[in-house]
Amino acid sequence: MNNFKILLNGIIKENPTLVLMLGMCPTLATTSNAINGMSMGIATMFVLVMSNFIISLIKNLVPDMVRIPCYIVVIATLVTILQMLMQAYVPDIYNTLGLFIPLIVVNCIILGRAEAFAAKNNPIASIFDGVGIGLGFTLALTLIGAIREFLGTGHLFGIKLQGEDYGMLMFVLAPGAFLTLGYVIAIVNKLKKEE
Amino acid sequence: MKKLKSSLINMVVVLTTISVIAGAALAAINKYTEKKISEIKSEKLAQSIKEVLNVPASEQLTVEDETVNDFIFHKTEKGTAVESTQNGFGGKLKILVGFDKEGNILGYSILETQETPGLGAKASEWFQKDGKGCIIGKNPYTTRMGVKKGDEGDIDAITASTITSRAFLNAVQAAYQALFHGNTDGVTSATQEANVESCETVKPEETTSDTIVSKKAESSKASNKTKEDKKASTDGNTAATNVSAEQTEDKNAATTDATTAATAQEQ
Repeated sequence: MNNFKILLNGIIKENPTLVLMLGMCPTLATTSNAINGMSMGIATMFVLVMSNFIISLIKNLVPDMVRIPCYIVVIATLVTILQMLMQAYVPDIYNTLGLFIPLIVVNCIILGRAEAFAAKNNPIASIFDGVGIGLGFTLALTLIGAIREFLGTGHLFGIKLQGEDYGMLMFVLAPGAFLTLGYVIAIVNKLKKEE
Repeated sequence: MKKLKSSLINMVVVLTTISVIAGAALAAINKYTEKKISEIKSEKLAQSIKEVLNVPASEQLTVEDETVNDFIFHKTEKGTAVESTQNGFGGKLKILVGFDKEGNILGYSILETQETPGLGAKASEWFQKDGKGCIIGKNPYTTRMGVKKGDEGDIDAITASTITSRAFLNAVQAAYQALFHGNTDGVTSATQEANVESCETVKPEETTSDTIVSKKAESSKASNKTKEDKKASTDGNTAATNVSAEQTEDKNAATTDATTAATAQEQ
């Protein structure tokens, strides 16, 4: 499998949110608007690419029985670094995402890819896998965020498209997240079957 | 390269090494970003102080900080900005509110919020000058800082966000109490006193569930004064006179406080 295929695989065939059903918590919680969804996706992608790369480098040094603690230490370190960098350079985004950044540590996409891909493949392929899965996650989160933002407030990426009174607030709140996610997954499944 | 065997020594050595490297990396990055993060924080605070005190961003402002219990006062010659925290709908709601020497609200800014986006998060605009629940230029002494429905206040609550509005107005009221009456022992008692003292009619007991919770949470510290107030409100007819008497007294106190504060600042 060449690297390009690995990349596309992550975006479409093994899209983490819409096909593998991984990382549902951040998907539901941070997609109240498109910008938040996208920022969360990019933050996760950064951690995913770095952790995939580092884990595939050290995969032979880590004895099997302690591999999970080792991977978690690597991932947690990367997330903390990301958190500090975000606080220093993009404080506004950090303030909106706040609580969800530390939670990237327990995002199952990252540990899942470490186990399923990085621990078996070479560092270069692992980076491509990280980028692919990360992009797939970012796209899914941005899409869900955009739908919820538009239906809920009439805005899109913070730009006003509809009047003040337009908008079903429910879509910005938790129930809207479940509804939107459900429908997006249903549509993706339908499209996949038709292929 | 062959995979390392899972012997005890291998496991301990590998996990320790990885942890040490991770720790070192974190320490390095922390050292590198620490200064920048604190710079951003103090810059943002300085900006917010200017904003809530109606001072143009270009103007220099000497700020004197003072921390009393949960409140932080940023005193300047234009007035005082108070950091005040309350529990909102989604978590802590931390605001910065600026008062002039008479206690008029010059401006406010929300420092930390976890309110619902699209609903409670509107608080950053709702209470501003052109918002529907404007508090700018009002004085908590004459305007009741509470929502119109349920709390007998004078401020319109944010649509569908009464809890956020209540928390926000309580924070403003508590800041006012702390600044002008030196009452910093717990937010709940401050709010209650405020209601008795600034309302013309005696406030009826509230029955909504969230206030019951907050009353339970009221610290044992809740001063004797609160009890007295409660007593006053149960006394019926006499209450009105009591309250108005208290009002005049407090007004005097407020003016003296304000003057002292002013002199202190001039010095």
